[in-house]
Amino acid sequence: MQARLTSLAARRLKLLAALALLWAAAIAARLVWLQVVRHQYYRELATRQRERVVEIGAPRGGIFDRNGQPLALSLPVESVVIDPRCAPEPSLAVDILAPILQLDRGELLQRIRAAVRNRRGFLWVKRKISREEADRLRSLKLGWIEFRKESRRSYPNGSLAAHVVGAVDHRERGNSGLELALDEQLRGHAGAARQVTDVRHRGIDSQIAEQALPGTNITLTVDERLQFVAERELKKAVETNGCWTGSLVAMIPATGEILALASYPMFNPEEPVRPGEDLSPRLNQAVSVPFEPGSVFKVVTVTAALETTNLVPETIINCGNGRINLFGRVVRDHHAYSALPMADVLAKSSNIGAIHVGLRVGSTRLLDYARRFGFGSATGISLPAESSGMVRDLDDWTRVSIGSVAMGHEISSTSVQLARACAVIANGGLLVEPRLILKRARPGEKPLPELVRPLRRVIRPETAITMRRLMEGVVLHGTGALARLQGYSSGGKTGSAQIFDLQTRRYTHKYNASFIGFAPVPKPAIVIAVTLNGASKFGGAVAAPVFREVATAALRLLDVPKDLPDTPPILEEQPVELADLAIADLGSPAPSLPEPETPASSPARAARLELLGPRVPDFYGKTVRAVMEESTAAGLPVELVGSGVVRGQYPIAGSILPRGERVRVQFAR
Amino acid sequence: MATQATSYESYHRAGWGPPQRLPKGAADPFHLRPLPNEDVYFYRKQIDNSRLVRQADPRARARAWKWMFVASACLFLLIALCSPGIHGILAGYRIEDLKLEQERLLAERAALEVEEARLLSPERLEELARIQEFIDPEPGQVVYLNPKADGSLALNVPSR
Repeated sequence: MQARLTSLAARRLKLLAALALLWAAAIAARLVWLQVVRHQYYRELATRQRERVVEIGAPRGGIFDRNGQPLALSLPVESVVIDPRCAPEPSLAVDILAPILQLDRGELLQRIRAAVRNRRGFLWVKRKISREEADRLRSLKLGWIEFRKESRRSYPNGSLAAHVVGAVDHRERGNSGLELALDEQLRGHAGAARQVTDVRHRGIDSQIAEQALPGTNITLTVDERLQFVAERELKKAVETNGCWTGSLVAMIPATGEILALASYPMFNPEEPVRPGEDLSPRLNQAVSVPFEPGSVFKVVTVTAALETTNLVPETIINCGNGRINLFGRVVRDHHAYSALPMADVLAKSSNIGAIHVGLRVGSTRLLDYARRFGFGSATGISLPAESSGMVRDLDDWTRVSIGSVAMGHEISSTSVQLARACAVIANGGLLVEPRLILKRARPGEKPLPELVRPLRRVIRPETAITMRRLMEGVVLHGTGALARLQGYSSGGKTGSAQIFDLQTRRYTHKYNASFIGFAPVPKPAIVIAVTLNGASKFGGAVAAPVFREVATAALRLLDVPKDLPDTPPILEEQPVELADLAIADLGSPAPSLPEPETPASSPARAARLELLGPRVPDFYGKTVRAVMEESTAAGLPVELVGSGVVRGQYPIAGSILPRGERVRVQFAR
Repeated sequence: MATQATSYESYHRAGWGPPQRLPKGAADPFHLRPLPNEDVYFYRKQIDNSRLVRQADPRARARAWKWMFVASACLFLLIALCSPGIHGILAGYRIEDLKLEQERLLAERAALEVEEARLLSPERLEELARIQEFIDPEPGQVVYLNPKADGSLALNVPSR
């Protein structure tokens, strides 16, 4: 009996042990399954539960002017998203979201319902909301409303320098201007951090998984203050003279740094492009739109003559009484000059004289000098869609092309190219590369200096000095009289090219009125090219005053010392000869021009002026002795300032000296 | 096994509870039948240990102090081991909060920079200058000074 009981107990004990072993084995198997086989899965599950990936913002780089004033900055903002599957009833969600975010209820309801219908788990409710809106939504503490970090591009000066800075699209990718050209550098690369959170999703610790790379800050050569003056004066000139478009480039001739680059019409870069919108205001007229330069190109013609022929400024050029037979085609000028010194051919902008000079230079050398001055090739400015203009090969020239090109027709250039060509004269014969970028640096890093290509000499320094003097003559006693500055000497060249109508295939009586100039003459600190397209007046009348205003502001901002005594500038009412129209279509009669108002044009007025006082002679370029002799002979009281030869006088030559007044003559070496 | 009710009843019957106030001879309607061997299982032997005297153990105090010291040392060690971790977690909270704060302040600074640039834009400054008549007069422009209301001259000559 006892043995039987012992056996039964032993069996039961074994059974129990076997069950316990089985149970332990099952647990062990489950443990192996969970911790070995499914290790990765559960590890990720646990990681997801206690860790989250946090984006480290990398804002787009800012764009600043040369003084550090911001022109474009990115601001961190938030966007609202919801998971429509987790959201409450769509109508309730709309009742909560629409009033705070100021959205249309019906439209939002429709979007949420569509998202629910399509089983979408993500819906942008409103992007880039204000901080107040974000705070109000966040205070509701609703789990189904989420916030995503984004950034918004802000242009604090509105449309100022919009054509230079450009704009971005809704994804903050550049679509014009420097925003497009330097998009890769400006765009930051967002980083990521793994953040360990507690049960309430509060961060405990974080480790950087991917380093954020903020966008590069770009400092431009543009001066915000001068840019403002340039845009203001350009806009005023375009609107006053009924022009279509306009452009202006102000540049430091020695370095090529662009201080202002204006284009009209303007646009607000903060307003996104809408479908079907006219994009022409976003076109940079100074860089992307070539035009026939007209008489401003005579600077190249005369320079080529000085370098390649035996012509000198005093050489008398036959102007044929305003008429020339060019290979069987009769060409008439806007004024019938019989003969002029080559200096006056430039100053008076004689077309026949320029043709004669061009014929002396020859087509090969004229084309060579056009290319030396940078025409026909892109300047390399850091802006997209730059036009290289057009300079045709010699094979494509006709027999009369030499006449056209000498006057600035049959070629095309942009305002930036004109400014660069003028800078060649102003800096002593070097072709500069226009620069818009002064420096660039990532936040917290040392700014990298911009690489400047070595300048290329294209004309002799003495030729450049001579050309400066000839261009000063344009302002002092030529078609650029309205570009005269107060307290500074200035040189320049006016240009008026008829605009070709592609529909009628004829030249119209609308002009590309332009002016290129520099100041002060002894050591130019600024070069400015102004172009007004579709003007009814000549460049000397509409573009030169813009130069005067912008140059005055630029010289003040650059703190350039005055090189002349303060004298009132010439006002538009004073009698000056401004006609400089280049003959567009050789062979056709010259277009009828409005008769310039000269002192002798009205006998009664001439008599009245004679009563007021004697006429002031032209002392320009004369020595002290010559001035004394001439003024004594004429009985004119003069005040002599400085030594050397005459560099300026007031009143100007040809004007009436009021009784009791003296002629102030400025000498310089 | 006695139920709670029988135990309760036995408790009263043993005289430990408050005295039963039933009238004499009246049968208790709630009286439960005793369990088998209840008197055996619930027998309580009365022991009188009032004359027992606890003998003093001279090592007990030392042992107690030793245990207290060991427990304190363990507690201190535990705290010393745990405190860096706890401090780390608290510092982590603080650091994460400060990061958020820094982010917010950077955003605020950027917004203020934009606002400052808007206020200092040349267009606005020119408009302000025009309103406050800081613009240089045009050449030849005549500016007339208005006399004060107190009868002084226009050139701000103080009245006598």
